Amino acid sequence: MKFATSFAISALALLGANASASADIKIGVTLPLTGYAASYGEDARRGVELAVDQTNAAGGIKGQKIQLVIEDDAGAGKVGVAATQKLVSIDKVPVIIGGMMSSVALPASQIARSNKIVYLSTTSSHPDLTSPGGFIYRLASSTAAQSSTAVEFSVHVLKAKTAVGLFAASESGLVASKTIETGFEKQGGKWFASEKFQTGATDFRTQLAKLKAHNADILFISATHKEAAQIFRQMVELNFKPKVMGSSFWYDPTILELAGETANGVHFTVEAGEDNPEAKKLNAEFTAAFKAKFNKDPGITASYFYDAAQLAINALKNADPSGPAIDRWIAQVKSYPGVTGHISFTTIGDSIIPITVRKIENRKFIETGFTRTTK
Amino acid sequence: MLSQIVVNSIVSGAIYALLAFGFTITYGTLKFFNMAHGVAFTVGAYLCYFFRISLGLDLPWAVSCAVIGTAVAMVLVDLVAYARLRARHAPSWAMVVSSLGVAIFLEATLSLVFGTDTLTLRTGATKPGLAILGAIITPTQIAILLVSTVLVALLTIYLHMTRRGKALRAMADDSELSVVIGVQPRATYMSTFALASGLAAVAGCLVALETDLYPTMGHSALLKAIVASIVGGIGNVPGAVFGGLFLGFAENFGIWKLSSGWQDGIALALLLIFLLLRKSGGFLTRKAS
Repeated sequence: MKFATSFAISALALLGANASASADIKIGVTLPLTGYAASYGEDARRGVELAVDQTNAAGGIKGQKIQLVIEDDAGAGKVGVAATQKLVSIDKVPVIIGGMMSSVALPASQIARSNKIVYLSTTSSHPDLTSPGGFIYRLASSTAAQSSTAVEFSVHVLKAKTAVGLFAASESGLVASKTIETGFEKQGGKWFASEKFQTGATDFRTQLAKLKAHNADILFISATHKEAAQIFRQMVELNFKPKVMGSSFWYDPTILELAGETANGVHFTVEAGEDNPEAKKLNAEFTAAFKAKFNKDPGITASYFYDAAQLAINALKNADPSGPAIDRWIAQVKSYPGVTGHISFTTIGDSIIPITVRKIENRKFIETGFTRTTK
Repeated sequence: MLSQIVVNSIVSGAIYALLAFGFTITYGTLKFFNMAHGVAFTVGAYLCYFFRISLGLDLPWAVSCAVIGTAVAMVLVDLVAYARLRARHAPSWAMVVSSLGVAIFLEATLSLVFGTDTLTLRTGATKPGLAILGAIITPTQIAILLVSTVLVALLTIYLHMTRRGKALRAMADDSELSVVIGVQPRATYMSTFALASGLAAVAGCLVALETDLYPTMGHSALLKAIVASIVGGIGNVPGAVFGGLFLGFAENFGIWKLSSGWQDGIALALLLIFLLLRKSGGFLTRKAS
């Protein structure tokens, strides 16, 4: 009898606590907490948490605290869909920040859209992510934009006439290989061969041996920074030294540590957001705050998730906490100052962002000054 | 080009052979399909990192300590997780589920302690490999070949010439009869785990030297161990070594001749083919009745 009473009281107390918790404003987030992309996910998580903590410390939104509901998407479609469904049906969030990986972003964004919830995709670069219909926004550039800049730089600056490619057998790798191969030939170059590898692979020697045999001027690579570090090392061991062109996956300080000298001379495309003084200042403040809180430097995913979180927070400050209201607010955003640069969206939710080429030399990222703005 | 593919195949094959050797012994002697074999590989690699990078020991010492550490850890795991199930005559599927739990637990512990980022054991600059007979091979790869050959030779001698080794083989042959003739089951179980995990740990250290460490590195190691063991006939030790080499060649020649996107598919396709060919796997010879 005593047990039943205390149980009933605790249950009521819990219900009461829940009631007040649901009065908080919720922002849903999916990111890879487990799996091959877990280290990107940890970085991203720090980015969202910083944004929310800064806002909550300053009083929250209209007096209410923001509650982050973070779900693991493991960087995989199946898990991401389940995570998004949970955020949509159980937590009933008005906005979801996610889409680090295209395999998650593509299905999850459709779920959000059909439930009239805003989906802020961060780094997914698949061209099919955005389409007319609203509710879906992408902060990073699409692969197509990066590929065309990569090809232009290789042909006009590096003067490459022949090429080979090494692409991950993933969504982004597949899109990259198609856009780069056709782009390169359109610019008058000759494409010899492409090889693929499974995401997370660590042994590329046989693929590299095959590619080396073609003696091409340049090697295009679509790989994460961890895979790239292995690739560079194995290229040095195999004495395979073409010019190398990669993508924004490589813009992460970890690659400088992991690859060391083997990364010297490689180029990669990346969003050029930070090239104006206002963004540089914001970036410096962001990096300082990030370091103070987590004792680490922010990586590229932390920056994107931070910007996405700030966008969501600003939307919630200026509009009702409902999907359609947030969607209307974000659609009219012009030149929002983020740490990744000024953010503006096209009518289908793509971000208008200049792409630049950077180089790695002596464990540092170096500007080449080559920038193109494509949508 | 062919010689390069051959070199790549032998090096991969040597690692797979080491992994399969341990896996097949565990199945043969204990009739236990050990899903935690891959995590022994990972634990070996991380212990090597700990001894070499965190404590600063020289590489040979770091590897030896890592191997001993892994063997001890896995024997403890046996005492805690599997021995009790054996005492209750649990069915083998219960042991498999238990080993899966061990694998997940240990992998998560490693992630908590070391973080999920990739760590590296390399301390010097990367240099081009040595060119031998038209192929390029690195010092680490040469080490892999030497170490695996020596280990397989030593262990074959152990299994055939020492008392304990013969006990292992006796138990694999007929566990009830071997107890009757005086084989100590407890000691034999512990030796089997120590041996199998020690081998997996060596493979883990060698692979970590080549391609760095990350918490999920044991997943593909387990898959390769299983495939190679089944190709050679599960429980068949020379078969496991053959299976490992065969898998290494099949993968690398497959990447060479077919599209390289099929890499993982080759291992699984081989598994399917050999499972269909013989119920218990490739080359298991019939025992005399």
